[in-house]
Amino acid sequence: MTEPLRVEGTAPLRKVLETKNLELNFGPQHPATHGVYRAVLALDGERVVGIESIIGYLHRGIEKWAEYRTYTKATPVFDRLDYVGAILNCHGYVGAVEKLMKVEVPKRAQYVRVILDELQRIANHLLWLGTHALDLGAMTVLFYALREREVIMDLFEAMLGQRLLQNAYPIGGIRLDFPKGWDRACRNFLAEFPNRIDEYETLLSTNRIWVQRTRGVGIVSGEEAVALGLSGPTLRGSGVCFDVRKAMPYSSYEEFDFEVPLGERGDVYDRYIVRVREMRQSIRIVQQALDGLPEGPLMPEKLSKIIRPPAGEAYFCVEGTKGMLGFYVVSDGTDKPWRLHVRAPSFVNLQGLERMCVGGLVADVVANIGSLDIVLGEVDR
Amino acid sequence: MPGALNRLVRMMTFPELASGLAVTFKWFRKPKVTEFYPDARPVLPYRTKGRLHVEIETCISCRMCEKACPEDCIKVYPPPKEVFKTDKRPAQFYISLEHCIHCGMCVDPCPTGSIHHSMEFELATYNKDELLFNKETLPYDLLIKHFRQGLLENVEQKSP
Amino acid sequence: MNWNSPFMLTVGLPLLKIVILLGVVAFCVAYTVWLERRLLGFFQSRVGPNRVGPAGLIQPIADGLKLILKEDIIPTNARPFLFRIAPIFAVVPAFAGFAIVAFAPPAGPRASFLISDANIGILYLLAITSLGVFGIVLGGWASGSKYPLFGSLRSASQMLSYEVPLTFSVLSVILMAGSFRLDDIIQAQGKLPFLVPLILAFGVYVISAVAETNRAPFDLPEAESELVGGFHTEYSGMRFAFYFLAEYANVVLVCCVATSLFLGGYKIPFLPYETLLAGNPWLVSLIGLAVFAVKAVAFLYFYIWIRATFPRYRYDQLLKIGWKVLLPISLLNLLLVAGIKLAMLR
Ligand code: SF4
Ligand code: SF4
Repeated sequence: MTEPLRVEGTAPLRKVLETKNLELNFGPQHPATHGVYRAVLALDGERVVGIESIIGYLHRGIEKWAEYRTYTKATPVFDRLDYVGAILNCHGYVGAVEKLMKVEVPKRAQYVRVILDELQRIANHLLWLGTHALDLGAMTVLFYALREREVIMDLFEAMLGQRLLQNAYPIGGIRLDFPKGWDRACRNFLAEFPNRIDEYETLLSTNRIWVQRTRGVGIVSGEEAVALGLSGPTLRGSGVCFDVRKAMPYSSYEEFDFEVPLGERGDVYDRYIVRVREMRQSIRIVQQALDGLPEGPLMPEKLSKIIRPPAGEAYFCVEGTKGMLGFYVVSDGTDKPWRLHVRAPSFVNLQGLERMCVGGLVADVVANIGSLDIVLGEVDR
Repeated sequence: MPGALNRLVRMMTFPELASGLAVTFKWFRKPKVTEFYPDARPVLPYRTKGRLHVEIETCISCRMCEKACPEDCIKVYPPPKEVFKTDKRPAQFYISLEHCIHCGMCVDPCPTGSIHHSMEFELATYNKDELLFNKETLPYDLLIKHFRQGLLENVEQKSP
Repeated sequence: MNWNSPFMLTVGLPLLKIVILLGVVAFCVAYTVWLERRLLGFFQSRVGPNRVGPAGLIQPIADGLKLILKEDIIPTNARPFLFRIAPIFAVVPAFAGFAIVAFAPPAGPRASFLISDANIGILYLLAITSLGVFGIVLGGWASGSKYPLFGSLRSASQMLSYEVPLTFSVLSVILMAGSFRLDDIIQAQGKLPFLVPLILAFGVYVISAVAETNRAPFDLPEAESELVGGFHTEYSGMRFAFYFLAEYANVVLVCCVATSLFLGGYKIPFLPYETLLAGNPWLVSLIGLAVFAVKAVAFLYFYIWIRATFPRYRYDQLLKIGWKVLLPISLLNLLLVAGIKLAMLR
């Protein structure tokens, strides 16, 4: 892999100085891999010269499993793909089936979905922020982030009955309206939360240790990022403006006013700052949705109890917490999907890891894995 | 030059590190957020999807819940035909909480509202068999338990 | 028993003191762990260990018991002999360093609060604490596993690099006090702790002491997110406890030394309580002990505060800071102090 060391104008010192690379097993039980992900590192001292991802430890065959269930019954299982962004997975699947059936989701349900989606995005980014900071040694941020995430979880519990795997949306709309007082609780949270983000930024964004650890580490240029198929904040950190919410609006996203934060250099710091800014944008979206929440039904009127979409296929993607989260459903006219495929952003984004890590140090591998924000449930499915 | 000097001063005096220390010190003085769980019972919202609870008295053995469950963990045994004409209560009703994912899909289609989630969330047992709930264990004692824990008052307070 | 017999004076009394000191230090170290976990919790908006005993005060004992009762695993790849003795190499220097720390003013000619009033105290301290790295390197190498090897290599280079600025900053203290004896240094700070004139040296000392003891933000040898557990990844049970003990003993030692060298030890500036209460030597000693403890705990608090706030440096950045920032600063400081001393002598 590496050229033998060579002093100018001499023959290569192959005999004397040839060194062997050290193979290091990074995972599957390693504190920094965020699950059962395994990377085999080839190390030259502390420098990484090669990285091989080995995945599949969490493979549950979710797609195949869903093909043996009716459309309705398959909904809750997609929460288990990316279990920190469960609502968005649910939205993706439900949206695909709705597209297949050509069901118009009522306006109010669309707005409620936007609110819950964006709250889920904040919750996911908070967990990511905490674990990413913990990987780089700033343990306090984790507890602060979890503390705020707890409030969102409580909001979910009050609204949907569950905290993590909510089984949020039925096909067609939403189940129940907000409980009494939910709106106020949510607004209180939204009012306080920007200050908390400021605190995280004080602890990290300007901190010289953090900046030194993340600036210029794991650089992926815009073209490379597109070529690798990266999406989500990982792509936007490289300065490519692509956000499904803007590019192909769904669920009334075109009615909201928000920005898509972009990075400049495509390093770990940019991916970090993009996510932090995204949280601020999500707050704006939730506020607008709460203000403009239209009245109306929650479920479409004519929707049969048994979901039996016409034969055909549909692809629907949402801006998931990790990137472009797409669901491809093929129906043969029965009540079970004939084929179902998930475009899992974590899985695709993992392709970028080698580009980021090679040439860096072992400590940078940790920073890079953290900045990708992978969830192994989604990588392995 | 002033820029460089400014940078040198900033490098030597650690203003941003100090503000970071100020943030942690601020939370050092504030009240803590830890919940003292086994000592202090959590207040759960009304919609919490806890352990399933079936009112066998009102159930009409229609098996809608059984069909809706994605994990196939409900089994309803309707009474014999002759009995069913007069008394529709199920002969036996099993829910295996070992497999239940607390998704709530069985609650939606029930025509009589007999099956619903309770707020019981401490479901750990020493024995897997204890997680198989039947006609006797599904309904009432849970309610009594809730009364004991004072959770029902929360229901009143938190109901929408 | 004749306390004045030569045997008692040379062997008996020091031995007794050593036994007492070992017990006290081990106790302090255990409660340092408790204090750290508690304070960390407070900084992180939670309460920390609070289940075992009131306010979690029995937690260290429970932890110790657990570690003693655990199985002592020796991995197949390890070199068993070295693997067994390495933790001892780590723990002994950490405790031996306490021998020259003066905790309080002496209460009588034979009732001093230090074991050995060596006139090369500081040199002894620097020498003995740098031995601790052997335990870490040996342990990491003898484990026969890759992560510990990385941890121990990092540790060796880190400790070597930071030994230098640390020594230079201590040298400036020695220049100020004009003695190697710790007690002389403390006496020299009667009016003003060296913290004020030697602020640069103090800064260097704090940073390199944090690095020397492998604590955040310089806890690279055991950076759990990269190297799992660093050099003690393969250790369990009592041998792991030894490493743990050594680490925290080093922390306490560093706090004590910082108190003696920079914060004025048991002296209170502008309040010479020793002379005011001269007739009551035991009371003076007790007050001195309390003052010392308060200062040391304040320093420890700062230590933990830093740990709660900052991310971790990377390996290469750490070495860069050691050699390119701290070393020049400490050298500059040493030159300054020497120049001023010289000018004052003229
Ligand atoms: S909650 Fe879900 S998994 Fe549990 S019994 Fe009901 S439908 Fe089945
Ligand atoms: S759906 Fe309701 S009524 Fe029908 S069997 Fe289930 S619990 Fe009984």
